Amino acid sequence: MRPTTRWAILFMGPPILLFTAIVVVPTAMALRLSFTDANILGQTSQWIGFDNFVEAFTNEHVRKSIRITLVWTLFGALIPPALGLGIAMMLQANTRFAAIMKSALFVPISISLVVVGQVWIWIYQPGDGLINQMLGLVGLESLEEAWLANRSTALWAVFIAWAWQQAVLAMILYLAGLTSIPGELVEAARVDGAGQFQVFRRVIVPLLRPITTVVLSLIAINSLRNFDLVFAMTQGGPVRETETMPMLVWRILFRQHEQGLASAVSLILFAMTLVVVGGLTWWGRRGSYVD
Amino acid sequence: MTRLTKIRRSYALALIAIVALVAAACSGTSEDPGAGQVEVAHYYGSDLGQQGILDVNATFEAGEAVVSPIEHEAFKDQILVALAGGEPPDVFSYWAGARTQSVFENGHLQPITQVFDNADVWNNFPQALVDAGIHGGEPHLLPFGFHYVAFFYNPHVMEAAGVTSMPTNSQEFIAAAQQIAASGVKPIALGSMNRWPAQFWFDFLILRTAGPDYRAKLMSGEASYTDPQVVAAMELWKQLVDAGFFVDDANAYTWTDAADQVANGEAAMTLMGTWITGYWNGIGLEPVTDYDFFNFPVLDPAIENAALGPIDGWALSADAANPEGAMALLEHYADPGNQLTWALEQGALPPNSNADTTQLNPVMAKALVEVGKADSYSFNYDLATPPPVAEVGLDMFQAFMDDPSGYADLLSSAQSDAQAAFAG
Repeated sequence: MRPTTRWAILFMGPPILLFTAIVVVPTAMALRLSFTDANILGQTSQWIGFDNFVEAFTNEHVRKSIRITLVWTLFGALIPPALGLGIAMMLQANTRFAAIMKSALFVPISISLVVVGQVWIWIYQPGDGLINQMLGLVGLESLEEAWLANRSTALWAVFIAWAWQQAVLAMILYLAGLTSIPGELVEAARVDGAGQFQVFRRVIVPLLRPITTVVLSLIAINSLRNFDLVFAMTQGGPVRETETMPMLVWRILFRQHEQGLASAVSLILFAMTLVVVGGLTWWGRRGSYVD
Repeated sequence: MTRLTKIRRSYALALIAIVALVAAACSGTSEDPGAGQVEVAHYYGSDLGQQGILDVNATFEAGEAVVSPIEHEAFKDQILVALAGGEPPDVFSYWAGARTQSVFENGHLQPITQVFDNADVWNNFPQALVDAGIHGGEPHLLPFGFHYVAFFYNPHVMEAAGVTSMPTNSQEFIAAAQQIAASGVKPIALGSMNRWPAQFWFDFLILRTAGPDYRAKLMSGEASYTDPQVVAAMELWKQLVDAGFFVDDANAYTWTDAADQVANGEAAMTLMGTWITGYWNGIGLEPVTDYDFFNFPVLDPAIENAALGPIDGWALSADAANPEGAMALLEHYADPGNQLTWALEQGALPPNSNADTTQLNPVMAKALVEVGKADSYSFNYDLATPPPVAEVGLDMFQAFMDDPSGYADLLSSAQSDAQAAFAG
């Protein structure tokens, strides 16, 4: 064996083993469970073929949860990145105010989603919540609402809380991306007569494409695996209106005890994640500035 | 030593260090309990009497109870993971009824006949509570505290509204609620954000109109959610909601929010279990002066008087590492003095008949009397029907509080979901 091969085995072996142990093996086990009627408390299970997948695609709660997750991912891919880019552009200037604002805006990303959830529960609280108090102060009592209990507002209320944090994540990445854009390219565009908007559209946005791919991929993954914030704020309620797919998996497993069905829904979510992230990676490579 | 040998030796040492670290990590994070150590997991958080467990465990001299208190809602998941993973605590708190049955049926419990014999649970506990611990013909759950669900109210609000005697039938109840509403206070607080607090309404409306036998059939799948008895109960519930007796946006609040609303005088009463007294005592309220209760009114005099509530108990894991120590701890938990200590702290009723109940506060003493006067004792909904079916009903109650007008559709979809859940 050549020395380089030995070194490769030495260095690559442990991570491959670790990856196999914590990703490949559990995924294979989930795959096996998804074809059984396993119960979380049960000691035995029967092979039932594709029944769990048929159940998953015909069950109205699963279908609704897939819809909620897709809507969340779609808006998640639009709103936080746009906000993040906008804030990053504003804070790009090397001023004292920008430095203070950057520090302040880093706070949401440094706290756990459960804490974020508790803060936003207070903001949305009926009666003495921040939003309702502000509405009351400006004479708009008629608009006061139990934001998290109302079936038509609950999903968006939780989404806003999540987007608030994700926008900061996008902002941090875009700030890094903006600093890497060569100033002479912007200058050259301006010399050629490009206005502020044209510089943004024709120079900055294309150059940020690799960063945008990263931002979109991270936010898409965060959308699809979103559990902790929903759990902290609504536990999927009211009446399952905020039940994202991870939340549904939790419910099927821990409340209904159906481990086989929970595994099937997990695998559907896994497949959705692969498709979304794979699509974004392809998109990123296709029009990359580097290419 | 050549440079290459030195490098090889350095890598070898580094590898040994890594292997040692991995081995240490894989060897487990906790040591096995010794002969006297008993691992205990329970769901009594700070608002549900955590201190009471610590007090009881402090007097366990035969060994040491190593406790892992877990937040009440999180416990429901974590205990399943521990049981399924084959690494359960020796002893864990659990709810009598369908939940214990589900764990028992899957082979995760071992009998505690020795505890029942040594502590003479057979004779020292009321028969209904002994029966609640029997699964498969053998004792598997030691009753540790039980509760009584009733209308807990704020006497100051009642007095201000001119309600001097508490209602005993539906006419009196509606008259009182109207009087309270006229005084500018919401008559009924309900915090159904976590769904289960709404179940007591469904339970009592069925028990008081269709009776415990019919309800037992509904809980076991022999009756349907679309039966006229269930429709009639839901219609009564809807009338109360439509009359404006409930706080707005019940689904926005938890049970402690509802308890606070009653304590603060924003609402007059809430249908809840006796554990609410522990919560209120904890925030400085005085029994009788600041809170009291009355029974769910009689809706049909021909129907027997059923009491409702959960029974909390202790179970012994089939995979317990220290079953002997666990049995000793369970005997300690069966002791009347320890049951009383816990009951006083949590706001529970002690199952052991030898507990000195003169120490209960007047409200709890009254609850004990009411349980004794009841013709039967039923578990609340999510303990009376199998867990997957309970999910269906709990969803329905929350949906009902959101829009009571659609209850007919809710019942028919609950019936098809419940049927599927029963079919497993």
